[in-house]
Amino acid sequence: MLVDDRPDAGATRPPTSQTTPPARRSPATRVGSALGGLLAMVPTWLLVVVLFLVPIVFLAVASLATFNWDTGKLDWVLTFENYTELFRSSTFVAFKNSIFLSVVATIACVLIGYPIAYAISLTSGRAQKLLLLAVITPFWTAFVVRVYAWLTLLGPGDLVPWMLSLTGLTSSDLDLTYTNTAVLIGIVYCYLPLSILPVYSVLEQIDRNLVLAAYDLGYSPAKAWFKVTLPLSLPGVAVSALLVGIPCLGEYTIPAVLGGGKTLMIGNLVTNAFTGTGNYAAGAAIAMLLLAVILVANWGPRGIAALVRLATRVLTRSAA
Amino acid sequence: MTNHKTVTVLAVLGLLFLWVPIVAIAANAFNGDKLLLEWGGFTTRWLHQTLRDAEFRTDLRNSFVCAVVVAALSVAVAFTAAVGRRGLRSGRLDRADDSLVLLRMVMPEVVVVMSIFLITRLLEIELGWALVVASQVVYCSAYAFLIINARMSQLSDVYENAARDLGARPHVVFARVTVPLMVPSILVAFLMTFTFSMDDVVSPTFLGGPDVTTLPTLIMGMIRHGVTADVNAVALLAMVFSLVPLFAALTLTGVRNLGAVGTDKRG
Repeated sequence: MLVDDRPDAGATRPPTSQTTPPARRSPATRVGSALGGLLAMVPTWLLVVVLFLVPIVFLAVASLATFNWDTGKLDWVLTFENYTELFRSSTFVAFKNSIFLSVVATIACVLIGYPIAYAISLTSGRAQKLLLLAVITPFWTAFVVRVYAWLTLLGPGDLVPWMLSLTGLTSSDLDLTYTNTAVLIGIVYCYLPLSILPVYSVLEQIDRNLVLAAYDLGYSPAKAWFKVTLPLSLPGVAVSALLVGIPCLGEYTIPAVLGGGKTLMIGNLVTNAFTGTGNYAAGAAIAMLLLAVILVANWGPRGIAALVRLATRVLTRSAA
Repeated sequence: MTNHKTVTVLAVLGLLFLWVPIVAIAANAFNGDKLLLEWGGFTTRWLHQTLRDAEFRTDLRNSFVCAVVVAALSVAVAFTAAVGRRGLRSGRLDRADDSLVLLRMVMPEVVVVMSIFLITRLLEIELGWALVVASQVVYCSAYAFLIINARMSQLSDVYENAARDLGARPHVVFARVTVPLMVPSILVAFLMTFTFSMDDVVSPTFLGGPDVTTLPTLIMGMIRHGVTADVNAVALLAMVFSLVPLFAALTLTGVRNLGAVGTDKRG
């Protein structure tokens, strides 16, 4: 490419080193476009500050306040009681349940999604487009409907209990609706397309010649997959695990429909605290903890990786 | 490609898992047995009933109007932000902005919605459509930005420079060169945020107050009363309507690109 079209080209380097002819922009238009650029950022920053950052600061402050049951308002007295209260039974159970469900759902999504992604990457042309469409369509289909669908499949005598009864271990009258299992199935179902697409796009980029070379060296297809394809596709698996694991920690709708108020996740506890009892301080504390879990889950692995890199750099340098 | 039988079998089973519930909804919308205990013969009664139902029509219209407004606002905010970033060309600002975009995407919707709810309680602001739209724009604009900025950052300067060399004034260059080049990504972002809004349960439930009803809240309410054929009719129609933006997006950009775009949706 002749033209350097990276977004930050130009500002970070002196104009003389630019690959684009720099003379086109006079200093005046440059300042003008910078000013215009700042102006154009105003709506998004306004939106983020007023509707996102300020409310979350309020949430953080409210989580340290006391809820006054007599007035139904918050007393602005600093306390950590809302946080110590989190470790009481029902809240803590829902927390453990959310983390458990999200870990199991992530593993299930990867295990079910990987073969689909692999199969799609093995096809080409029209067949591949059709398979991709088969994965993307459910993903764009009305979300609540996809969750609701499982209510009609998990009740006594419905499809899933009937299939399970074929193993002879359970009766076909088994009622799975409003259970943890139902919530788990719903999560896996809704997030499955999310786990397929990143793995597919990584598999698609793997050089077929590497696999063919493995065959030439006498590897069986299974062994070639295990030794060559699988290791190369792990970055895609990591992305899909993040895409499934993190959003489902804060899931509200799926447990609300399939858990029927019995199986709760953190998301439901937050709304229950706000709208049920009206104890905003308690709700705010639960929301803050959910926020902390999400941030740790999202940036924790990266932080650890960065620390490991830093440590190895320091160690190798001191060894040298 | 000798031993891919296992993969094929597993993939077929996985695809069945994806499609059986959708087929079941569609089939049971035509089930003559209202309680869905068995197959009671084919009927279009529930569909007719639903299509005539005033509540369904209102909620569908509400959802549609709300989604159009949310998508338009999200795209407008995202597009101006992408334009701003192109004009500023400041690496440090970009990084700060990037982390705010990412933060809005990973933040669970319940947290965003309940933090706004808290403010409405503290400042005694009345719940309603404005708040529903506002909270949806918070995260929809982040997704729209991701789609639009991806295209914007790939946009080379050559066309704009050529137009400028030919004597076009800056605003003409913008309107006649930059915007047309961005249209496909703007439309895809619009369609995607439109479906996000159409699907949303949390915002209308908690920020809408008693007067706000949408298609998802209608379905949530109906589910509470039990599983019947007429819920399936509403569900089937909701599915059919949600396919319209999908196919519009598919014609705009190939199925491969759409797969790459659609990898971050929240529930």
